Amino acid sequence: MMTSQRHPGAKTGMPRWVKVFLLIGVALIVLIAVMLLTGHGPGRHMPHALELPVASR
Amino acid sequence: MTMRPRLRRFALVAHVAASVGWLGAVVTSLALGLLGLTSGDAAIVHAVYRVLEPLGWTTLVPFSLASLATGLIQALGTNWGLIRHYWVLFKLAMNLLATGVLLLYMQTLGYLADLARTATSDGMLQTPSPVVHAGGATVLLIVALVLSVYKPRGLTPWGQTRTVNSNDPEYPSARRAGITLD
Repeated sequence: MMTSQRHPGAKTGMPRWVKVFLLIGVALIVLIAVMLLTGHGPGRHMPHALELPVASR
Repeated sequence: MTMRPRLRRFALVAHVAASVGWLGAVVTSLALGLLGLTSGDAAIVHAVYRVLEPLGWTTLVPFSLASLATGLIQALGTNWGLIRHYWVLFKLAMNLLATGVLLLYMQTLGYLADLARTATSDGMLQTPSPVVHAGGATVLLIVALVLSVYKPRGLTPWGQTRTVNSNDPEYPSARRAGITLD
């Protein structure tokens, strides 16, 4: 079985897991930026909230 | 500048304690959020939204800041470094993101607490917002926990230019560091 030998200081590429994390991270940051720019914040959650009557006991 | 082994272990204990405390507080918020969202009892719903804000200020915020501070000390005080390994860099970015979102979200929790405080007993307010935010934070912190335990290999370009001090007994193995020493 062949094994790759690298010298100390030799440049290695970016691991696949790092690329996956970067993609997810960028998507997350874009999502947060869009939500902040569209006014997501205190009180803005309320349009999605439900005003319900007291449950009958 | 690296810490002595005894100090390094103490710093590690502090970082683990802060991070575990943060995860516990987030899961507690998630449980309360689910209770507030699903309960049919107005008194319980109002109590949940009133308690989420003080829970945030007394546990979530202090533990998140403590986790960030102890993590920085842990990275800068050991040979792991802050920007040498991708997993450390990602944990830092995730911590900053989670802490930033939490500090912004505390305004919403304050708003919900005010609503619950002033609402009449005739109605109750239910929102999925705390569940969504606490759920996202739980996922983020579990990913950070997995990164801490598995320490996936991978040196940043900056880390690859640094010389490995292999004489340091506390330095991670070359395999973990992502390099092969001949």
